[in-house]
Amino acid sequence: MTNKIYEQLSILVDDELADHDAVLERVATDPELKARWSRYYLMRDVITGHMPEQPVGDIASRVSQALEQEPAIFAPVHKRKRAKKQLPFIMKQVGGLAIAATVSAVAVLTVQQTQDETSTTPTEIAAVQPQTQTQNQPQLQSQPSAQVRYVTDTSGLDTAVQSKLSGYLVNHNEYSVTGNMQGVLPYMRIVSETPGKVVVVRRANEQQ
Amino acid sequence: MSSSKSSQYQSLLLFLSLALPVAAFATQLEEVQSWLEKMQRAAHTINYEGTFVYGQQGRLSSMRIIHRVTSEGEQERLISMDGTGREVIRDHGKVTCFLPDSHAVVVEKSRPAKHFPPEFHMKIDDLKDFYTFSLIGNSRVAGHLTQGIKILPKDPYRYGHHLWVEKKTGLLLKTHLLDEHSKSIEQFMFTQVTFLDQVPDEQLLPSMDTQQFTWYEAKDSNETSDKGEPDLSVAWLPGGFKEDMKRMQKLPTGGMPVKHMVYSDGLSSISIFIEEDMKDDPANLVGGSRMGAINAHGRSLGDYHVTVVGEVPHVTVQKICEAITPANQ
Repeated sequence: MTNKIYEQLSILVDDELADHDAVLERVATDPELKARWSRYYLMRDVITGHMPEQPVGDIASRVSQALEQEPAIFAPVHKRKRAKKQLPFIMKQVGGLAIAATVSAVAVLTVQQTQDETSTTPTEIAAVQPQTQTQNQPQLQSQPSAQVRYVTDTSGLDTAVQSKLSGYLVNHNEYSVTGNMQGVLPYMRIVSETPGKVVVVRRANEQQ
Repeated sequence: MSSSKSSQYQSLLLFLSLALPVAAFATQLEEVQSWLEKMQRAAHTINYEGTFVYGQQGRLSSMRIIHRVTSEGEQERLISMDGTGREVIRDHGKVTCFLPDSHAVVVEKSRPAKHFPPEFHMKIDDLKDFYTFSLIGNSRVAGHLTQGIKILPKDPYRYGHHLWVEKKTGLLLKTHLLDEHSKSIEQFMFTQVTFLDQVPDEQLLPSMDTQQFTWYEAKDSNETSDKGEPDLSVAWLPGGFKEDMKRMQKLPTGGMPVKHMVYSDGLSSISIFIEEDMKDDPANLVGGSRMGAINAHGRSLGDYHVTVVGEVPHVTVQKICEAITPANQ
């Protein structure tokens, strides 16, 4: 029974659970499940290149710790008798060794992230621009072949910046259509203490 | 004779097969429009109390919401059930954020309500170049039967929405915010909701003692800085985005007058904040940031600092931020 909920949890993390509401409700009320859920996310985030919440130096130990605590995820597939589509994300991707490799790659990547690229713009997006009032923006065309993606950095925002942004966000909520439609709901991001994260732009062809 | 009749039938069939999907499509758009109107009306006119879960990036938070409507208007209270116990109360034209973690209370003005309940301006007919709208069947959320609505963007500059609207009242019970790959990046879902006839006053009072807290209060500001009102123009916006509002104001926690402009396509919106650049102000955002599904991008522009904030993908706030230029150049 316990294994079943763990299994559902890992499928949920992979966004492939059809009826995830029941599981979400259990997660919300069970601290052990909540902790486990965030560990699953940590692993998924590391693998997909999304940065987890912890500082860089801590990733490897966090992940190996999490791996030790999670034998169930790496249990033989045949025991599960699941449809292939429903295999947990990690099973579909790689084994433990590959994860370790990914972790170190990600760690290196993160250390080398800088904020010097804020003027680049995604060109896969530029290709489908339905621009309304375009003026000449040479920087938009300067990197025609670059694949660009936005990476959420591990580092949190500076407290002063976060506080100023929160003020802006309150004003945005009050004066935008979203607030007009949903009242106090958009404030859930402030009330939940959702941390502000640094977003950096990375080009795929960049040599670092 | 018979062949002409059969050809008549054929053309009738052809006509029907072409016309029916179009008619069905039009009807579904109208249905979505009326569901969205019902949802917006419910958000402002119903007394209710409930608990919901908010999730993003693997973090889950649990919150309580109380909403009351009286002859004096709306009152709402949002309370965190974990963390440090933050609260937000909206009433009497004010938004009050109680932040026990920083021993602070921040008071902002609400948008002045010209009409009650607020009018619903969105016409999905105007939005169908930018989004697809569909109804996706019924399911239960927190024990209530809901109508599912899916809104998907046609370009990478807006988020999609998957909405579950309570059938009887129209209250929004669950949402998934979808990125450009239709992946859910932020979730909100009631786990319990009760519709009420009356809400006692004490339910709308803050639960904490704020005597030791520092209070910050916002003022509307007609004054501008020494340099006058910033004269900047926005050279690029996603298709369908128009100016919604602009005003000068002072943030409760900062002394500088801020020019605030809102642009929207009717469903998604972004805010541009422009203030005089106090050199090396460490509180200014330089580059990108995200907070849940909210993205922000900031940069210094001559004598000003520009910050773009919105519930849109990062590329949108970044492109808009970079397309802001001095008006006379």
